[in-house]
Amino acid sequence: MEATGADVARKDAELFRSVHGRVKSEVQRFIVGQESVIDATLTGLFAGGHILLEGVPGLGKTMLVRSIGEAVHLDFSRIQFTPDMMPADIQGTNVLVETEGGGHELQFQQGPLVAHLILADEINRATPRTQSALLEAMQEHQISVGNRTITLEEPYCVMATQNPVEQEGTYPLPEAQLDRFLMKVVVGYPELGDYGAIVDRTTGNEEPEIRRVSSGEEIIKLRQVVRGVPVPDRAKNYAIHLVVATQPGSEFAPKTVNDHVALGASPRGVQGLMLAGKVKALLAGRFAVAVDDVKAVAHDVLRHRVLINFHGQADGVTADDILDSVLQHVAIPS
Amino acid sequence: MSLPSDETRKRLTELARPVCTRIAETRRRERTRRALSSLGPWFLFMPLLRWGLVFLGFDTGPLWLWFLLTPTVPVGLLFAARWLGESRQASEREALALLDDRFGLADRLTAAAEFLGRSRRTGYMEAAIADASHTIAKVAAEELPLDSRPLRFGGRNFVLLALGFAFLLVPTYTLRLSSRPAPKGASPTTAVAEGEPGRATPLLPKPSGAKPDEAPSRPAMTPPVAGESEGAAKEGVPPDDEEAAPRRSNSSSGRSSQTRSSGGRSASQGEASRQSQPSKSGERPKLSGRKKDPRPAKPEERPRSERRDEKESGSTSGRGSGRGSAKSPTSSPWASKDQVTSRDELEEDEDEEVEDDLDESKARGGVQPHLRSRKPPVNRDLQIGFGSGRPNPMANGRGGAGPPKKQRGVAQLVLGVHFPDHISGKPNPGMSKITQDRIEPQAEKAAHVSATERTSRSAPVGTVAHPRLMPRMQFLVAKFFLSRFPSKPSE
Repeated sequence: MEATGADVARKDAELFRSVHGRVKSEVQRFIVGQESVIDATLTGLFAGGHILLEGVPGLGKTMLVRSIGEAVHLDFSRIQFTPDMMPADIQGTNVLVETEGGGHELQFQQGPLVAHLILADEINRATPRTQSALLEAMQEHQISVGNRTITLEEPYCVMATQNPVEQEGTYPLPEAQLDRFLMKVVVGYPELGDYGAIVDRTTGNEEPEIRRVSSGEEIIKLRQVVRGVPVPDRAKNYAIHLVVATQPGSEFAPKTVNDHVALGASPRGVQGLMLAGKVKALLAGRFAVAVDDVKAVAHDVLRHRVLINFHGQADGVTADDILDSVLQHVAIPS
Repeated sequence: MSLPSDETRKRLTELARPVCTRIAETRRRERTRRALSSLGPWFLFMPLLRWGLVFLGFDTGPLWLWFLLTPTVPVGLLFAARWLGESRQASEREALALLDDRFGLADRLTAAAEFLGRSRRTGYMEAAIADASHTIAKVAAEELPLDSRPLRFGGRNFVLLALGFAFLLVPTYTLRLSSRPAPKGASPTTAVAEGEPGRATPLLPKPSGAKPDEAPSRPAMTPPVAGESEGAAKEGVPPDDEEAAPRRSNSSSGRSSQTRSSGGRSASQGEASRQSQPSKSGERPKLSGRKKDPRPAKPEERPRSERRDEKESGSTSGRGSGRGSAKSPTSSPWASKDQVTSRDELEEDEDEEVEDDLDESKARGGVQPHLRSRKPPVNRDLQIGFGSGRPNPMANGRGGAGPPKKQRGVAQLVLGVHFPDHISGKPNPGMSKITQDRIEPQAEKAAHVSATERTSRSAPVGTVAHPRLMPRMQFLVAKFFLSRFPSKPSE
């Protein structure tokens, strides 16, 4: 009996849930608690976006990305961003090497950006010059150095971490850079019950080992599965209204947005809502994106795309407050 | 087993139909409820309309008709609102969206309905339709809860209806009073006063300033013009004082306007004198509330017009800011500070400029180089020829102050703090500012102190200052020592 399109879709969705579950359980062997953070990070990975993890030191941000890299068996590269880092340090540069005949020649030595999964640790410590070297890599998945253009292999994912507290000696990410991240995940403190397990796992002799439960090819396939999920008009219109509502002076903007927001989300915000919503729908066992999926990912996808103005900063308004009011204000289209 | 697409579509339509009816009913009830809540003020509409017609002098017809219309018009509006609610039917899409929301189906039904309407369907769409077909049976078995709140007329509406009826009666009563025939040969005022002494005051308001015995005699002499009497009544001025009142008001207003204009004039005078009026020193108005003028008395020694002439002629006389000579390095204020020629200028430099610069340095608050001790900026003009093949005598290949260094990642870039524009040869745009003198380090003379060993004090300390104790403390201390060292009884 020949499988219909619906059967194939069901099988793909089942595979997606299975791989997602395997990777998540492997990561959870290493990371205690933080389920929402793990879910959001994996959502970004499967949706084909880049993730910005923000949290105070010691919450396991770096460990999370490293464990995901090990679980999906991707070419992993860690870059510790420092203020004296230059674009050539991460992109690669021509170095003078000695040839066999005793001569010298320039040879291109690629930087750590050429990998599958990049951990850009403390990305805001690098200067904007170096930060902007990531722009091309993140958007076009390629690096241009001199007259050489290196196409980065898929799956390509940048997971950056930053510390929101220590702002001295750091360079806030420019808007263009922030917009390229699909999600900004805020890592909070673990639950009270998780502390015991954290202590047991990290201070004993036994170190948990992460198995390779997926591969790059599988991730690429699952990304195609995600992109295949259809979006009904209701969810699409709702996502569009949400994004427009974050723009001050727009038709759907609530008063809070007009008062406290300097810059709203761009069309990339809608793209992000759709992609992340598709992952949510698949994980929920559905074959189409619902309004609830858009709502569920709205904070993570839009939080870094809303720029608070001086009035808002003075009043202590955060991007999450703005998004709360937007979600409350925007009606679901029928 | 999922149903075929046609069957699913049919079942979705069947599922949506009763919901559409329910939505329409709910909307109708909601509209009626809203209309009821805003019905109250409409009960006053007809009575107020009758009032208006009565006061305009129209015949309003029988009173019973108005009593009938007062509740009828709002109730008619209510029915109209209900009819409008009925006329707008809910769509199938709305019904399915409502079902999705009520039963927590995460848009399964709406998505399926939408995908069923598409000609090309992907596998995921087919899967979504199949997924929805499973839920249809589940939803069909459930009962959609309907808004069952009762519709209430509300006590407020009753009160306003009663008020409307009362309003209908009021003009009738007042009209009856006003239409009562007056006795012949008597003015309306006297008629009212005779007929109803208690009502005389509200019907014809007395002027507040008039004496009681003057009021009745007034209409007999000359009937006042309506506008005049109204104006008088408003102002509270008796009609006899009408001529005086405008005069007073005019004078007072005139005075105020005069005061205002004089204020404005003084301001304008001040402005003019501040600018460039070469008037006599005695005529100069004082500028209060302004910072001390840095050049208060100097214009007598040297008129400003003279200086202006100099400026216009292009001569900077060592003060810089020559308009036409900006290209020449010697004409910049750096150079001009050294080109002091006349005695006046020297004095001005020492007195006014220093004062001015001190003020400016306070205002600026930053450290600036002492420009007076600077040499003129060197020319970086490296062109080979100077005019007709001659070398540029000023060119020495070295530059003056460069543009401000570009900084990245500093707070200004984030916060948007203003960066000053750069003018070559000047540390800041506009006039050069001197904020701090450069002081040459000088050796201070002091007596040589040789290191000696410090030993313990051998001499008495002397009188040691101590705070005066309170009497109570003094007593306590004395008591302590007396108890510790009791005095032996004298033998």
